[in-house]
Amino acid sequence: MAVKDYIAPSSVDDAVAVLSEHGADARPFAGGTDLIIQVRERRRQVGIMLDVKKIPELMEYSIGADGSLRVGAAVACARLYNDAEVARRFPALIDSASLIGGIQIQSRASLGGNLCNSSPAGDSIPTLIALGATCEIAGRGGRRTVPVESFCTGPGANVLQPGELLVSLTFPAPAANSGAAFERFIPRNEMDIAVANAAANVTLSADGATFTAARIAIGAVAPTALLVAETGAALAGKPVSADTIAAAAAAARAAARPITDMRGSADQRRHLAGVLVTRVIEKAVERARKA
Amino acid sequence: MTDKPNYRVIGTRPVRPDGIDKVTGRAQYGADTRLPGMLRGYVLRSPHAHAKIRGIDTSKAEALPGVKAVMTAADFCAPGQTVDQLPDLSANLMAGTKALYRGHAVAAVAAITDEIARDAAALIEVNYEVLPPVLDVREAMLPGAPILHEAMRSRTPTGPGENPSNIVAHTLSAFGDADAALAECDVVVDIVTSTKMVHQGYIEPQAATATWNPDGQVVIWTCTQGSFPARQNCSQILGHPISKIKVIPTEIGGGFGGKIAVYLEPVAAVLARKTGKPVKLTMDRSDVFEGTGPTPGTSIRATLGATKDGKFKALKADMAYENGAYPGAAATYATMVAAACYDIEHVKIDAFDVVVNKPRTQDYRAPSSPAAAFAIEQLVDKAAEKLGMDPLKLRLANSSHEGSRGPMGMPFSRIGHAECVEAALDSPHYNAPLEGPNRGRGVASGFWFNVGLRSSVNVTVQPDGTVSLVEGSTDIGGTRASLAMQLAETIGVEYEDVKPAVVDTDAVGYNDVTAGSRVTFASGMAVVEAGRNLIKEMTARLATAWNVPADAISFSNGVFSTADGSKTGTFKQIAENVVGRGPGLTVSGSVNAGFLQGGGFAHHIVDVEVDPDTGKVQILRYTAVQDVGTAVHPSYVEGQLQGGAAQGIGWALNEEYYYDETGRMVNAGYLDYRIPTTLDVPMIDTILVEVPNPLHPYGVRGAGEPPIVPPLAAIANAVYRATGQRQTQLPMSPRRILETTGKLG
Amino acid sequence: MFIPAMMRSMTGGAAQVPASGATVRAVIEDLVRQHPGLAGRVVDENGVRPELFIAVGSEEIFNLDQAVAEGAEVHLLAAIAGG
Ligand SMILES: Cc1cc2nc3c(=O)[nH]c(=O)nc-3n(C[C@H](O)[C@H](O)[C@H](O)COP(=O)(O)OP(=O)(O)OC[C@H]3O[C@@H](n4cnc5c(N)ncnc54)[C@H](O)[C@@H]3O)c2cc1C
Repeated sequence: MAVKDYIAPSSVDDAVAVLSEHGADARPFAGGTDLIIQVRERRRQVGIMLDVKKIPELMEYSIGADGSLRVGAAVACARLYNDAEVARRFPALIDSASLIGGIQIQSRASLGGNLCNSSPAGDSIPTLIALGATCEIAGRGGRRTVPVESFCTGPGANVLQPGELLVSLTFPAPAANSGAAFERFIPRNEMDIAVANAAANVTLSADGATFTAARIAIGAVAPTALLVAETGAALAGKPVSADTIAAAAAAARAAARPITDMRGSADQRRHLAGVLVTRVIEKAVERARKA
Repeated sequence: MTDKPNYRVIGTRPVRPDGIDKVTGRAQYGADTRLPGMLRGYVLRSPHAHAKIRGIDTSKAEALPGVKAVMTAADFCAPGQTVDQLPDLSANLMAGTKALYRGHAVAAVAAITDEIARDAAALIEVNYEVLPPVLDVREAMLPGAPILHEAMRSRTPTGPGENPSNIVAHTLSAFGDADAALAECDVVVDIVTSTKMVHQGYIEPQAATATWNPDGQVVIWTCTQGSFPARQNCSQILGHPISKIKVIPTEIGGGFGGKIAVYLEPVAAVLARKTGKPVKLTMDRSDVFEGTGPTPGTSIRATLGATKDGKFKALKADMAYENGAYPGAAATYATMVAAACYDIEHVKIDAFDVVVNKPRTQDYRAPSSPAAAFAIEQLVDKAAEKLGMDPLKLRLANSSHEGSRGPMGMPFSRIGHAECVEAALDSPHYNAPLEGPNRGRGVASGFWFNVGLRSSVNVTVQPDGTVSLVEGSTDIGGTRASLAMQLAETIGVEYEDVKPAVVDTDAVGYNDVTAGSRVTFASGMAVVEAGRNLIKEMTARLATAWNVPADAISFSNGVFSTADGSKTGTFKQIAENVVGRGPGLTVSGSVNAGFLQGGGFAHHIVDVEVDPDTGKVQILRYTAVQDVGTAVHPSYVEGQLQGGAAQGIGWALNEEYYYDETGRMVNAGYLDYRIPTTLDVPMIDTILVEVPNPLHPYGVRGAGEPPIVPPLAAIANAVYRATGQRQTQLPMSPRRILETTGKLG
Repeated sequence: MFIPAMMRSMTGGAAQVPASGATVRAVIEDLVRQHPGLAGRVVDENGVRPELFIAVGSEEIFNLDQAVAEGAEVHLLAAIAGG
C-alpha cells in the first residue's frame, strides 16, 4: 500500500516515459502540497512518486517579446510574486499566487499543481481562465494545447490522459486599458478553502468609461471553475456603472450551480458569487484605469 | 482594590524554565517517546455512529507479517467478566457490544511499523448491525428516539424514570419562586439559544507509550493533565494495582480539560503486556476530533425578569446539554454557574443531561459555563436595552458580591465581579467611541469556580545554596515558573536559584489534575508550606551551628539573624555553609485545598465589524478584564486571558462539529474545523484586577478558566449592535449571519 | 442544610432542610435520620464522599468534627473541577 519508489527525471520525455510505463501507479508532483497529503491520508494510492522539479522546462518562467508570459508547470507561487515585472504586468495572478496557503506552502506550491489537482475551489483556476491561459500538455504522441477553461472536467478530474504531463501555462499579453483581479471568500482571514472565488479581466475604452471586453470566471460554485460567458456579455459595450456591474453579478449568480456542504450552503455560495464578481470587476476596473 | 503587599519576586516576569527546550525543539512531548524495540500501535475506530457489534474477526490482521498483537474490549475484561459488563470508563475506550459514536475504538493492533499496524487494522472484520443514530440533544429527549443505553433510566427530582431514556438526569435547581416573581416583573426578556459541540483544540494530539515487565511493573509515558488520576484510571481499567503502575508525564502541548481522561494509555499497556515490548500509540487529528472528549452542544431557553429601575428579580431556564455517548453531568454543572455573576433572588433552572451518538464529552475550560453565559449574558443585554440602561452599569447594579448567595445557595466569599465591571467601565476601550457603519460593541461577564484539590511538592537544598522544586502537577500554562516564583518569594532567594521539575508518580506525593485553574493556587499553597517547613528546619540546624535557641533566630527578607543582630546569614549562605555540611535536606509541602477557591470572574469588551455582503465578522478590538487575585507572573496570566478569549472567538464565530445525517463528523481536521488563526484575532488587551484571594497566602486566584466564558455572548451582543439582529445560534459563521440578516432572500 | 440539586430526589425535592447538631458530623447524622435515602451518600465510613464537599457559611470544612453554631447554614455541594 505504501509508496514504492521516487523518481526525478530530468526531461519531459523521460517523465512521459515513466508515466506511460507505469500508468496510474505513477503520479507526477511539483510542490506536493496536495499530493503528499492525499497519499499520507490514504485518499490516493500512489506507487511511484514522480518529482517534476528536476525538469528545467517545468521550473522556468519568462516574459516573451510580445508581452506574453510562459510559466513552467512546477514554478512555485512565491517565485512569481517575488518577481516585480510579473507582478506589475499580471497582478491578478499575484492575487492568486499570494493567497494559496502561507509562505511555506507558496514556496513549494505551483500553478500547475493547483490546476492539475482540479479542485472546484482551486484559487488560481478562475484567474487562469480570466487571463485566457493556454495549457501545454506533453504525452507519448507529442504536445498539444488546451484552453484552460476546458482543462478541468469535474472535481479532481481533467483532460490529462494516461501518460500525459502538464508542461506549462501561457498567458497572452494583457490588452491595452485592461485590468484583472481575483478574490475569494473564506470564513477566516487565512488558511481556508474558498467558499466561493472569482476573477475578472476587463478591457475598457480608452477613456475608461466603457467595457469593451470582459472575461469573468467563478469558482467553488460548480463542479469546476466556470468561465461565465453571460457575465462577460453583460459587460461588453456597456458603460462602467453600478448597474452594469450589478447585471454582470446577476448573470454570475444565475450561472452558479453550487452545492451545500460544511463549507457553505448553495444559497450562500450563489449569493457570494454575485458579491465577489462585483468586487473583482470593480478592482479590475480600477487597475485598468491605472494601467 | 486592596493594597498589594510589597512582593520581591511575585509580580515580576522572569523567563520560564522550560522555555529554551521548547523553542529549540528539545522538549519531549507525548509522541517523542522512543524506546528500544518499541512497537507501534494503531486503533481501529467505528465508521458508524450507532451500531451493534455482532462479532470481531481479528485473524487476518494477526496473520499479517509484522503484527505482534491485536486487542479488543475483551482484553479489558476481568476473569469471568463479559464485554457487556464493562463499566463506561472501559467501554468508552474500546466498544464491547455497541459502538456509540463514529470514532469509537473497537480494536487495536501492535506491529513493527506504523504502516503495518494500519494495514492490519484494515484487515480486522467487524460485523456491525447499523442502528439509526440520534445527534441532536432535543431530539434525543423525545419519546421514540433511538436509545443508546437500554438499561438507562433518567434520574429526576421525583425519582428514577420508568422507561429507557437518553435523558441521564433532570436536575432542578430552584431558589425562591421564579414563576411568581416573573409575573410581577416590569421588564421580562427571553431567549432560545443553541450551540454546537466544539473541541478544546489543543495542538498536541494524544500519545502514549507503555511497557509491561514480566513482574507486572507497568510504566506509561503520556502527555496528560494529571499523571496521578491517569494512574488511577489505568489501574481501574486494567485491574492492576496502582503500586505497579508508574506514569511519567511528558511535556504537554495543551489540554484545556481534554487531556484529563485516558484514551490510549490502557490500550498501550494491554498491547505491551501481550507483546512483551514497549508499544507507542499516537492519534492523528481526526482521531482527536472523533475519539476524544469535546464539549457539549447545548439547547437553552431562558427568561430574565427585572424591576423597572433595573433590579434583577427572577431567572428561569431550561438547559439541555449533550453528554455524548455516555452519561455525564454537563447540564448539572450549568445550574451551578449560570447565574453566578448576579444577585438574583428567584432562580429556577431545569437541567437535562442527555446522551447522543457523539463522542463522550469532557471538560473544556470552565465546562458548561460559556454556553450558559451565551444565553444569560444576551438576556442581560436585552434587559439593558429595554430598560435604557448602560449594559455595564446594569451588571454592576446587580452584581454578586461577598455574602450574596451564589448559584449553589452558598454565600460568596470575597470576590471581584463588581471590580471587573468597574474596571471595564473605566477602561480606555469602553471609553473610546466606536464609529463607522456595520460596527458594534458588546460586553459580557463570566464566572468559573476555580478549585483547590490536592497537591504535593518536595524541596531539596543543593550544596551550592540553590533549591530544587519537585512537583507532580504537569505544567501546561507556565506553572513551573509560577511555583518557583512562589518558593523564591517564601524562602527569600532569587527566582533563578529555584530549579523546578515535574516528576513521575513514584517521585512525589499525590497531585490532582492540572485543571480547574488550580495549580498556581493549590500547588502554590503546597510550595509555600514546603518553603515554610524548609525555613523551620534550617532555623533548627542554624540554632545548633550558632549555638543559640531556635526561637532566638528570625527569618525575614531572605536573611536569618539572631535577635541581637550579632549573627546573620542569607538563605544562600546558610544553605551552603550550614546545611551543606550536614545531612541532605529535603522537605515537602502537601495540601488539600478543597473545592472552594472563592470564584473567578471575568468581563470582556469586544468591537466587531460585520461585512453585510459576506456575513463575515471581524474582531476589531478586544479587552479582557479579570479578577486574578494576585498575578504571580503577569505575562503568563495575561496569556491565560488572551488564550481564553482567542478560544472563545473561535467558538463564537466558526468552530463546530459538523455532522452529516449518518453521524459522521465531516470536518474532522483543522482545515474545516476552523480555530482562529493569528490573523483572525487582534491583540487582546488585558486588565488584571487584583482582589486578593483570602484563601491563598499570596492572594492567588485561578486564572485559566473564566476568560473563555464571556466571549460567546460578548461577540453576539456586539454583532447585534452592528446588525440589529440577535444571534442565538452558534457558530456565528458567515453563512449564519447572511441567513439571519435576510441576505439570502 | 442546603442540598445539591442532584440529591434532592432524596429529600422530596427540598433544597433546604432543617437539621440540628453541635458538629458537622452530628448535623449530617440528623439529616440522614430524617432522609434515610441519603444514608451513605453524604458521608461513608471514610469521611465525606469524594463527589461532594461541605461548607459552613462560605467556608469549606475539612473536619467533620468542626462545631456548627446555632442557625448556621451547612451546604452540601457537588464537587466539580474544570478543564
Ligand atoms: C496548508 C495548505 C494550504 C493550502 N492553501 C490553499 C489555498 O489557499 N488555495 C488553494 O487553491 N490551494 C491551497 N492548498 C492546496 C495546494 O497547495 C495547491 O493546490 C497548490 O497549488 C498545489 O501545487 P503543488 O505544486 O504543491 O501540487 P502537487 O501536490 O505537487 O500536485 C497536485 C496535483 O497535480 C498533479 N500534478 C502536479 N504537477 C503536474 C504536472 N506537471 N502534470 C500533471 N499533473 C501534475 C499531481 O499529480 C497532483 O494530483 C493548500 C495546501 C496546504 C497544504
